Amino acid sequence: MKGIKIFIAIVLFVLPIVGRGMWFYRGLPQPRDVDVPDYGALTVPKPPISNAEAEESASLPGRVVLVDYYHGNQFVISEIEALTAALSERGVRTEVDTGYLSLNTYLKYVSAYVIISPTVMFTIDEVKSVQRFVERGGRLLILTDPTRNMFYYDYYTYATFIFSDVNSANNLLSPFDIVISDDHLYNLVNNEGNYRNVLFEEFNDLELTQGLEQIAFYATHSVHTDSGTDLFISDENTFSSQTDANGGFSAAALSADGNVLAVGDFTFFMPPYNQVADNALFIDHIVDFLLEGTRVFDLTNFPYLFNAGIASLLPTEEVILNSDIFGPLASLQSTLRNVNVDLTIVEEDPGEGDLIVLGLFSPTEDLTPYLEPFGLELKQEEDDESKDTILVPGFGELKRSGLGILLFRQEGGRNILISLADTADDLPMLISVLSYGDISSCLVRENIAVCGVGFADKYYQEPWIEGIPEEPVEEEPPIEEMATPIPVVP
Amino acid sequence: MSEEKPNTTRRRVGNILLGIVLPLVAGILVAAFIPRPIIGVIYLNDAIYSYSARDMITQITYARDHPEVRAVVLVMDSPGGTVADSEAVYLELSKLRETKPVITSIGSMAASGGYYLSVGTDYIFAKPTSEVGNVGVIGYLPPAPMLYEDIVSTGPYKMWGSPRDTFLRQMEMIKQGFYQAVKLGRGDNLKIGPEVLLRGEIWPGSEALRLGLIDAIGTETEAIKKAAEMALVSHYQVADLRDLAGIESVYYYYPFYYTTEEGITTSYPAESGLYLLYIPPIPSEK
Repeated sequence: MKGIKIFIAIVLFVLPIVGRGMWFYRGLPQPRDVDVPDYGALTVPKPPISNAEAEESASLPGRVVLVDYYHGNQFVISEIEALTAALSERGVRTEVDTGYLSLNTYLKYVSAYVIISPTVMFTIDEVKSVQRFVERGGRLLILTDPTRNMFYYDYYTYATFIFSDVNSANNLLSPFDIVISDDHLYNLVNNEGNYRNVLFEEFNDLELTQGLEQIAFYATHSVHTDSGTDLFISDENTFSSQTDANGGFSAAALSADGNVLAVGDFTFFMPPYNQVADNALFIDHIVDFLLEGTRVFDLTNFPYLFNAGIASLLPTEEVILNSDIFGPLASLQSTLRNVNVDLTIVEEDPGEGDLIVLGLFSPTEDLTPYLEPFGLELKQEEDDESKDTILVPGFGELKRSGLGILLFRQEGGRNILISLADTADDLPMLISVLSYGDISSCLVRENIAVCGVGFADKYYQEPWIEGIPEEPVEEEPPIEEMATPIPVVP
Repeated sequence: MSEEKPNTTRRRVGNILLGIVLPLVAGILVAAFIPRPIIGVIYLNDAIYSYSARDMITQITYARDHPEVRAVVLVMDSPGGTVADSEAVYLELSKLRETKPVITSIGSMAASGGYYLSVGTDYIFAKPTSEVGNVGVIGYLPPAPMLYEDIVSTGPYKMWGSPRDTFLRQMEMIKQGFYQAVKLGRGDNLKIGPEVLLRGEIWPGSEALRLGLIDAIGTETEAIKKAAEMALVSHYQVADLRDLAGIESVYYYYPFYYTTEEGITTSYPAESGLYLLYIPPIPSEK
């Protein structure tokens, strides 16, 4: 009985405890293991390093590569150190276009034109100049970069305007059938430390891709061409930000004529990225590309026709160096010195080096060998010297009076410029034209230019020297006196 | 006989008191010490940075140390924040989960570091249009090393922290940690691979549910109910852990976001560094 009582007491004691407990709690919490990332096992991805070495390149002293810095280019000069260093190793000079000279002038003498992330549009004249430059064997390299946009912040609307470098680049590239997309490529699976650092491992067989096994680009636009050639193709895990479509993108393309190279990235040119994968070898190939162009020089390149440092000036037999000619010659010498060419007067052709020949239309024995390749033909009228003509290939038959002709040819590494005038009086005028450093006042057809340097036909007689022939002056008849006086009316 | 009756009655009453009422009262008194279960709520309506993280950790610690707090609901509306602070809160939440269920209820946003915390909980609710995801890291590269005449240091990166390239690669490592956290947290529920998840996209809640980034569409109330269900409690009370932990509602002025000279607060952090942060795009025109 006592036990029952104790039991009841215990039950009664426990009952409210259990009741309250069960009112609130229907079970006991079970400790459990919660997995967290193994942070200690995470590693920093390392860049792939290549052992590929570039072949030693030939030295090409005297060549100049122009780097554009006049079109809102989104880089600083120190960032192209790898390029300028590689060019210097080959004895090539790098010039930066800051607008001091016109682009057309620069392109007269440079071997290659490098444009990096331009954000200012090229003018129509500039586009045409570049097109002509490329057509004549000049090399054009355009490097763009999706991280090199130009930002403009509108303080009134708080809007930010973004100008991509592809607009300006495509403006230049469209004649060469190359288009750079305003996108960036990305790869989340196989990349170089970051999704935007894309690796390329599939290469087309070109000189620019010789020996390459892997290239790493650090944010790149995709580059497209139909008639040209893609340098390398991305894998199936590479996507374009523009479409989020994958596979088969190129980030560099070569034009059909092989003179224009467009690349979607610029960062790979800079340390330390230029040392990752086979980037250094690729940069070396690009530098070779810039210098391997075969530039065709013609008269439009004047005064940048000479590359030997010294040009010999050879007056032919009929040309007498007198005071009339010294002035223009001095100007010409000054012009050539500005392009690092010294002018030396010689009595006979030294047989080597660059040469400027001065002569008249009446060919002398010493002039004939220089003229033969051009096929000029002189026609003389016996009775009237002023009707003499000259047949110039490409121009037809021209009256000689007041005419100056410039002829240019490259022979055995020599650059020979022949300046011909009709008379010894016209020759200083022709040299004056040359001394301007610009023969745009002449009609130019490849290696022949025809310039007006004197007076033709009716003014040929130089009337102010000969004197104006006096024309008979008819005497006016004397005023007849009026026969009939006017009557005066009162 | 008549004298015995009162004694017997008194004895019986005494027995009853001793045997029934006393144990019952004692039981009731003891039962009163059984606390009513609490579903603690932690609100995060801010970026995750030193101050907000410290407050959260205080609340988490309180929940862990107080047995009456049987579950925690994390009410989330955050674009994320700094890497270290996000990871610190994530690890504290993971520790709490070892003993108590933690449920997330996403309000308008659980992006980047906010989502990092979410995957460190047992169940995730979101609204149909909540912004969820943005898995990844964002950072400002340190400047290229340079020298000043009047500031000297003992190493090339003493002033800059790390080479720019190393910084980028470290960021990739942090991303992998984030991805692992998502994988561990979501397990088989996750329907997308890294090639999609790590694009850094933000998905609306309904899409996040389809992709397995969250568990259900639901409200904060449902989250609390779910927490109680998982904690095996009923008749619980819901309490703001901030109040329980005695965190004063002091407005800390901490310039986490960059403020322009005109006084406009941008969506960019004021300091350079690494972030698990969603930065909404600024209005722009091309």
